[in-house]
Amino acid sequence: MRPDRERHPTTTLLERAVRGHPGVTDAVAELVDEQGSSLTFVYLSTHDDLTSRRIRSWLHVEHPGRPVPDEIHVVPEIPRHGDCPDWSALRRVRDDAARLRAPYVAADTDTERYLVELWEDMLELDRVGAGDDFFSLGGHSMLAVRIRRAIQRDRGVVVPAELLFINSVLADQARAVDEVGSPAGAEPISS
Amino acid sequence: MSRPMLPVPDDLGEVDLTDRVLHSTYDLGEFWQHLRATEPVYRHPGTATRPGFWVLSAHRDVSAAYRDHRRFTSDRGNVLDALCAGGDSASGQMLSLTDGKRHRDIRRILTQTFSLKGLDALGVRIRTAARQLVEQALNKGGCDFALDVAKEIPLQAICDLLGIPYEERQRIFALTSSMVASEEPEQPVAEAWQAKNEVLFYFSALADDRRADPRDDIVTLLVDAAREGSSLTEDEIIFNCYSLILGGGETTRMAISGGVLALIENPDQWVAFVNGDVPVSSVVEEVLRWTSPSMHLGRTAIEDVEIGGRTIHAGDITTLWNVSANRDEAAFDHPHQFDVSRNPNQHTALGMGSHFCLGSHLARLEISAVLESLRDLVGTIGLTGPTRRIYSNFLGGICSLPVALTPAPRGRTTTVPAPSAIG
Repeated sequence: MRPDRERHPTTTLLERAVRGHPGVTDAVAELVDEQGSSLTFVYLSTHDDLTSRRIRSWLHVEHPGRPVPDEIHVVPEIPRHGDCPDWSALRRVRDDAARLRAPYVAADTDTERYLVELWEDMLELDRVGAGDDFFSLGGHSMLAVRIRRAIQRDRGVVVPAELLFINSVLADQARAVDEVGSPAGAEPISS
Repeated sequence: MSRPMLPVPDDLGEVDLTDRVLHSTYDLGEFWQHLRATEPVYRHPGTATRPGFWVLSAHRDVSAAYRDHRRFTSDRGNVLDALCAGGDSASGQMLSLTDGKRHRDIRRILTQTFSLKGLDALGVRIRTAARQLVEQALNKGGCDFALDVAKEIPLQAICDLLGIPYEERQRIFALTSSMVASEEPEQPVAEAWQAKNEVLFYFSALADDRRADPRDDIVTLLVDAAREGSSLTEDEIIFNCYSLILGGGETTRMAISGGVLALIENPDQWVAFVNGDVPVSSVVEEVLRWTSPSMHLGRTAIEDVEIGGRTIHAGDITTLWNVSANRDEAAFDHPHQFDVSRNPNQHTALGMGSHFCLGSHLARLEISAVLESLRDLVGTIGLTGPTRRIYSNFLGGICSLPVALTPAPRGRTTTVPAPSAIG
């Protein structure tokens, strides 16, 4: 068992901030130097249906101006050896999540940004990008139904299951939604 | 017409029970007989992409596993494909896929509807519809019995119960019939997924409709239960509707068309039945045993279970094969004979124990209604072309049954049994 790493002020502050959310039961943060840049990761457990995105926007409102974590991972329970977080287990959580993700590409169009929010909520994930794949991220039938219902409600179009199945990458799905939504086609989405 | 018998290979592992085409193409009778005799608790090999699983083929083991819901859970899925894919996405949310208190709670909501009393009014409609469909077929001199009768009766009945409007029903049938089976040997993964998704989507929208505008149907019942704080979730409402349309529409379709084919292929049994020598209820049970539309049901062992000298380990996928249990020589005399007077007839076609088919009364009612219409109205029935089977490793049966029909001679008894009219 290795000793807890030296706490960096950033991680201590982040932990304290995240634990301040009423839905959070436990949280730890770590700072990792990866290829010259330092990244902050937050792991939290919740008794609520808290998602990474909700915590992120809550941090933004409650602690404006503070550094924000690069990744937030919601886990069933923070693994620990005694009082000390099991950092290698947490690293596996992060690696497992990373393996399913495409290299991050920020959403570019209105529909892409809309879908990013929708996916983040439905899949309970953080920082979904335009290149991410619905099924790789754990998307299943009922989530697809909820996404279709949400699109129907918010955009007034019914996206056939087939389109969602074929276009499982977010950017493709956004394009498909736009095409269904504008039968005339060729109607660019203004930002 | 009938499927060729699959020879039992030296290496049993060559028979891939997950192969959806195998079951439709071959009669696996000898394979099952071999398993029951030599390896009633058989370990089906896995592949690089699919785990191995246990195959229970003997009536006694299948029955025992059904009843042992404490050690064999349904809550990770009850269909082989879903279990092999790592669990059903509906697990724990669909009546058939829950155990314990949650199961009893959901079952209680639906029990009233599917009780004999609850089905009273629907029963009258079903009998009328069956009579009309058989009369139409008689007027034309023939029909595709699987499509024109066997499909319509359960479809209309379950849609009545769920509150699906008439104009939607044929589309719903097209979708539900491609969810776990298909009429073509090749079915792209996408097709089944899309069909399932459209059905889930449909019920999600229907549930919203019923929230705003309650009706006298099951969807309203489920929506109300959720509202009254039974902790039924939105997903559970949708998954249970999905399960009901599949269980209510598809299985009975297979039972009816397979039962009618059996009557055609066994003229002595047809005569015994139409002469009233045998009560309809007895014919229904034999039809259920003979057709066993749910070929298997799956379970997952919760703890290590010892059966017949083998140990099924906790977490292992275990499949209960009705198609084999219902041909078990140890449980039935002459199991390979279609015998409408069979008694006793402890088949497993509707499952057993706490997951015993919720729609058993409805299924029996529908099969009876069709059989009674045939008995009362039809003189002769014969095949006019090749039959077709669906492709699936879960549901088995006939989706096309072209027949010619002639009317019954006047004065055939309807309800009063004629004492041994034919010698």
